[in-house]
Amino acid sequence: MSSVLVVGAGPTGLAAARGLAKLGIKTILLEKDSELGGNPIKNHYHTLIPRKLKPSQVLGPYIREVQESKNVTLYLNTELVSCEGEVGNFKVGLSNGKTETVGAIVVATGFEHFDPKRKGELGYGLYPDVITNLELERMFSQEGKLYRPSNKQLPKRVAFVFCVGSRDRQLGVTNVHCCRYGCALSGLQGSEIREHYPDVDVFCYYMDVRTYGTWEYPFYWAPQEEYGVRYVRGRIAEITYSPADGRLRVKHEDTIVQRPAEVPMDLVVLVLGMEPSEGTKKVAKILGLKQDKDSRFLVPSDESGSNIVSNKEGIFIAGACKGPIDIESCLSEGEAAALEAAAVINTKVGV
Amino acid sequence: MEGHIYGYNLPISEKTKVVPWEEKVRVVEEVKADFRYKEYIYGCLNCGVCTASCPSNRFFDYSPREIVQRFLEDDVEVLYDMMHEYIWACSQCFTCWIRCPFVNNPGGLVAIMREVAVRNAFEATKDLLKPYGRVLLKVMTTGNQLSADMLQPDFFPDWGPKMADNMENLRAKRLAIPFDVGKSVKTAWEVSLETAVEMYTIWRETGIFEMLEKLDPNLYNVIMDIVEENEERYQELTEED
Repeated sequence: MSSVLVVGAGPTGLAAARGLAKLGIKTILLEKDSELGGNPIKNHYHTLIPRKLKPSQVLGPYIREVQESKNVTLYLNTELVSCEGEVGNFKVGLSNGKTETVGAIVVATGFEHFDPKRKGELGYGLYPDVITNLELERMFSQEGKLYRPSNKQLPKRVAFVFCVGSRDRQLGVTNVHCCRYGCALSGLQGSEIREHYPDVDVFCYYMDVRTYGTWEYPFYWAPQEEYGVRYVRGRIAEITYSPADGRLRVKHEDTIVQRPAEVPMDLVVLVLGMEPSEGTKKVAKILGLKQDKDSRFLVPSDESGSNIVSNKEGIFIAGACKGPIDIESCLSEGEAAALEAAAVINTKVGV
Repeated sequence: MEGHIYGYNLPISEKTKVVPWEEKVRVVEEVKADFRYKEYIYGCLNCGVCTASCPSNRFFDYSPREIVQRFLEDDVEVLYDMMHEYIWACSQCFTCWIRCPFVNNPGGLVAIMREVAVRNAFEATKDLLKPYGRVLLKVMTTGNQLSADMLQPDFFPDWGPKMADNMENLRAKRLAIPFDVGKSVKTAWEVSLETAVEMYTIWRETGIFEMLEKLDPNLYNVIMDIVEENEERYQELTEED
């Protein structure tokens, strides 16, 4: 029976490889970095939405099973460089010099976080107290405390700036999509700050709060009701610095009371959007996968009702390579892709 | 629908109330028929970035978000009313445009509204243009905005007592400038008759003279005297050739 190639070992790729291995299918798992787990592990996420578990709790079991499985061949620091052939018989070239023959391919190349330097008016890289939500996660997970990078002191006022690199056509039509996770994560991070430092005021500057489904209470209502996080409606137009008091100024219009405001803040957290990773763009080219013309995320085939099926027979797309998605859905999609891939190699090769 | 769709939460001026509904619709439709309109307005998140970035918003009752919203709501009554006073607070810096996540251009919408207000001889445009009569005269006849002879001692008391001296012997002072700025005190630079006449052709063909006639008949007469005189001179010169 032929094997399956899984490209990318983030949550989606891990779930796909684990699923295939459990079905007894030989699986080659490629990862361009030196460790498994993708963004949540590489970027030291602190707590994952929606179940408020640590990355090690959610991804740890997947990583262990994949590492221990005799069905999984793991290539770290390795990328896909070429692909020939068709479903049932793909010849794939890898950056480690090897060539493998596989029956089906699962693409799980994921996303990368938006680079906030592209929104110059927000002062990231210019003012040390303007940080990203990723850096805040690292502050929690690596250093275990909240502080202002400029003076290492506890901030008195913290602002979350929603939709940085999301829902924004100014960036060249590429970032009009919603990041899906930002509202919920900010609610969680804000609550965590308020829980540990009740004297710190936390403000969320939003346009809409998209804590969809069951996320509404834990990540929108509870931050307000239980933790006293404050929500102000309006997009931050620019962030400046006042040498007089050494604090930042966030400028916005409170669009509900229709009042322009320029408010002092000690720490500003930019809530980053998602873009297709370099790997996603490269693999799309190598495999000839259909991409959204603006965002460059991969898009499923119109021929199938399944959103896992790509425009190339025998190639399946899952997780954040198709657009912003949460980690639990990534795991489910990876498992769904494993099922589809298993079905394909059984029908094409088993007969 | 006639009237103010969402109720009169903004005060509507008497000037607007007395205008027949059909006329207000016609004027707003004229704005929306402009070829730039569809490139200046897409959707709106009501995020307020335009208004937060707007320098005029800090000092006046003017919000670019309000402009966009009123167009999206098709609020004829308010849009028409805004053309009297509201839109004239915009400083046309277009920061709203470069910040808007939809790439709407509220400043551009204001530019169109102003042009329509001028074309339709809104009372407001007459009032607004009054202090600029001298500038308009200079621009329309010579293409220059300002010239040395426009400085007059009693015009700018806030410039201090020395200004009166500065305004004597303008020609000599101008000649003393150590690089070539032209000899004229009536224009900032030398304007050839040919260039001026070409400019008048543009004014005429694009309807600028007509517009001026509606806005300020007196100024129009003064300007047309000069225009016609220059055109005649040019005609004579070309005939001599």
